[in-house]
Amino acid sequence: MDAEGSALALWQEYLAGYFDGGAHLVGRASVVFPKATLRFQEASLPQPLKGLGISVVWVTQVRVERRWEVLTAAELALLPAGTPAEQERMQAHCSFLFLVRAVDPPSPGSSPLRQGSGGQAGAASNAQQQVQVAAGKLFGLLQNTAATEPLSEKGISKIRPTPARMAFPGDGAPGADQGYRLRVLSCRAILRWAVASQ
Amino acid sequence: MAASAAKEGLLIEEVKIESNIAGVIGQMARLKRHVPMAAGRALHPDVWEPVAHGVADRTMRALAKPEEQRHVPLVLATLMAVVFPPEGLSLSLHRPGPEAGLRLRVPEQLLGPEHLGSAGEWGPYMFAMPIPEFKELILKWVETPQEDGGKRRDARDAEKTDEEIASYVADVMLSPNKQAQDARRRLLPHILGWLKKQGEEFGWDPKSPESHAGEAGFLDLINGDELKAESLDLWLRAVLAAWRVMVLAGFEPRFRQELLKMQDEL
Repeated sequence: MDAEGSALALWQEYLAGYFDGGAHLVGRASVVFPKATLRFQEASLPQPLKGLGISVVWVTQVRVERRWEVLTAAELALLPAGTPAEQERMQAHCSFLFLVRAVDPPSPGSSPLRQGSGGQAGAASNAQQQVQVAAGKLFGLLQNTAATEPLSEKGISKIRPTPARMAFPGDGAPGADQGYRLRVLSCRAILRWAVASQ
Repeated sequence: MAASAAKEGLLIEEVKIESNIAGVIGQMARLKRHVPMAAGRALHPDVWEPVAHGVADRTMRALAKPEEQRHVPLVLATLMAVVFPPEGLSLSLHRPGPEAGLRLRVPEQLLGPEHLGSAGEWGPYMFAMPIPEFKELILKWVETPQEDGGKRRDARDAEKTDEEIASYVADVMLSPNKQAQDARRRLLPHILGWLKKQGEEFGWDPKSPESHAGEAGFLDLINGDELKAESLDLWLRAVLAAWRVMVLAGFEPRFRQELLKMQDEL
């Protein structure tokens, strides 16, 4: 089993269930999530990007261990019928990067370097707000134990997200693209997958 | 102990307390000596460079627009993983610069002197290429059938794609560590033999590698649109964030592993 591929497939299934423009329960609260285009690893987002895009990148895995355990019902459901519940299982400490992006549409007559402000210098642009909100909701979602329980049952558990640190371009970096908004959120998690050796 | 001794009918005749402070001081001295050593080994650039390369590649490719993808190898080729004295690690990545084609030569210090001498005129030709073209050249060598001078396949190549084999060979050819240099000395005559044959067939002039860019289908990555400063800025920030996660997650288990190797000395 390809750990990297299966982890990303789980993320895809999980994130697609939330970032669809609808309201979802996070714990006991109903939260409206924006609709986002999802991409994984080096796959580029469609260009020109319309709305919000989230790219998930596998960073690294450490402490890969092998042990015998009883699989969860969700894990067994993914395996052929009749597979014994006690199986050899692999476990690894993994890290992922979530690149949350949005692009402001160019406003008529604006220069490329002012596109992001949409003609409203100093005000938060629509794209800036989109990534801020999306990154915040993603962080909240990943922090919520109840909301991540299904993901945990399928193999990604103990998720520890780090708030999006990179304010872009609000960090005053010279040459920052005013029309391109990005937030980078990282998380560490334990990835477990069955080897199904019997 | 006294209770059990009493039960067994024995009487305690002596209680002794000894100081092991000398042992503790000795242990501290050993730790003081070995912990920085373990940290240095856990942060050795040879360990981190390939991981950092993969993480940077995936991160930049995820951010790059389709028309920007061709710049990713150029930026990646500037990756430097070096010791940050005394026991640290420094990872860096930067803009290749408009004259990337000239700057991105295989650094001489990585190669040892033999390619300039015994390799003949084709040695400097090959190692004077920009790194992306060098990698493309290696891929072409791997793709060439063995009877035409291409790579001889062995058990290690089984179940690997040409790209995977070429990537490994290119890493070996460019790596500064001693083990890789030994492997490079063994590979070099075969690659140069093939290159010479190709050169004779296509009438290349080994003294001017630039003139052949594109001629053999090599990547012509240098010319054309320059990477926008805004895109590079975005890539570098994201890679920095990714590397931060990578080191935070990866250092502790590596450090622990290095300490365990020294267990007998601690």
